Amino acid sequence: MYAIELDSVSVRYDKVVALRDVSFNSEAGKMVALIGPNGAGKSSLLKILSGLLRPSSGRAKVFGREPTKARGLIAYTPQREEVYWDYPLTVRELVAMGSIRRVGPLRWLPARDSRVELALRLVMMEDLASRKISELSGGQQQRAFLARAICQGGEVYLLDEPIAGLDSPSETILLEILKTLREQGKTIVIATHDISATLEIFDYVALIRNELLAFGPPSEVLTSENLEKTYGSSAVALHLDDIRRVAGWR
Amino acid sequence: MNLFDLLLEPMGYEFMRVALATSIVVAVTCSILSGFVVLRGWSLLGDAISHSVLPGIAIAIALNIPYLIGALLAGLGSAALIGVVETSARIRNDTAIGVVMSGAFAAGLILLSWMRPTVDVFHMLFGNPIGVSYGDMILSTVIGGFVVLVVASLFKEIVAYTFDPIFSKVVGIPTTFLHFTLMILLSLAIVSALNTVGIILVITLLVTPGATAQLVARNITHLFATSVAVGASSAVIGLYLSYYLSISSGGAIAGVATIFFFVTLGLKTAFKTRRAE
Repeated sequence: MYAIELDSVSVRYDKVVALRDVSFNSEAGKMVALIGPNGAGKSSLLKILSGLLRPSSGRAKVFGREPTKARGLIAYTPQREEVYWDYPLTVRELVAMGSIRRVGPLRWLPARDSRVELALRLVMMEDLASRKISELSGGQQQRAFLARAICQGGEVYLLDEPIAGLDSPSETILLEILKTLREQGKTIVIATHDISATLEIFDYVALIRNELLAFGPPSEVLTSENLEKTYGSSAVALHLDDIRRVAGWR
Repeated sequence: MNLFDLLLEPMGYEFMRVALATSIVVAVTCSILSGFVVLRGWSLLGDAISHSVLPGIAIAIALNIPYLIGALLAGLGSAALIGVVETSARIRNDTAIGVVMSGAFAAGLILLSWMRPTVDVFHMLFGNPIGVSYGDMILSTVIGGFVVLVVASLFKEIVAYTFDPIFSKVVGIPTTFLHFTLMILLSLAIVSALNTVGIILVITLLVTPGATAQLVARNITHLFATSVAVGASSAVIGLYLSYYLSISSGGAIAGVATIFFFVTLGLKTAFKTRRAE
């Protein structure tokens, strides 16, 4: 059984086609990068997999189930800009939000939860647990989001632009944490603009521009031709030559 | 006269005891919701709902039913109408709020001036806790108790929804239900405040305690505790000021809450500047 399955998925907003006939699958324990320019449909695809959006046609499945029936298996983090970071929450309170489903209705979240502490340890934020989220850097905010996702205890992590705007050390830390999660058998799907980050550690890359242009291992998919089709510019393709050299590909 | 006498003297009058109890209950009710109003960016929406209750009151008077029922239905109706106008006209939320709020308030004024009702419209607009009856006090207490119960029962879900609605939806929190629950609670709080601070000034109690608390809160529990403390203190100090200075009680309560905000902001800024030095 695949961890995620997309079968001829299309999304339309009124008359605008956001995604057309997208199909691909991934086994569990893999890292998948959705790459494409702004408005290419990456976030729509994540929203379909998380059950936030219904495809206009086609089917999406998470471990063989409709996404809305697989909520316990899905951990989703939106783009950082979509929340109000001046909200008076500590890092621990934010991470504990991941336990909401498990705690159930009409009960308060426990003050101390071993899952929360474990998640904080995994993202190396134990020392920052009592800090206000408004006092975190961009990279720390993203790690706190990831810790909340870990606390959810899902099998499939859907992360919308988790490395956007991060400096290089923060990006490295975040990708290392994602690798650790993969080693634990979790499936990671991220939407990103950053091609270079996907080269070495991702198992699959999906190039998207309102349709699936290519899907497969990065070394096969990230070609000059495919990137020109995706971004409509040769600049990205030229940049790829440098990236391929660094990665040691031919 | 010492401080103790100053505090005790107004309590010698029954109307002052009722006014104080009702004002505290209303301030606490509004202050609890104030945290969410401020954090979700609903200040203007709260203002719109409070102004929109006026036509509901007018219609209720015309139909000879309790005006609080009319006010509640009008408050909820305006919140729903704002959503409909925003979606169908594809205009920004603040524009939809401006259109509905001013239209509803105008409709209320026209209806009331045409009907010439026996109830004191001025007191509804600006409040008059001194004139609050036992019945009003009991109603405010029941509403306050209901608001506290609902917020306490759904606290973690409301916090998650007001912080990150998308995440909340993914984990299966019923966000639409929560949204309308908060709208109902807001409308109820506004109705309970009609006689104390009135339609125009209730927004102060729905925004300022939460805004003041946000300046100093270290975490979410601290925010709600501070907000309630600011709201309740404003009610007490404002009512005493109105008694001794013979000024509008609703205005005094709202004024004290505003002073709390600016003093806190000033202290915070001074503290920050000093630390930077």
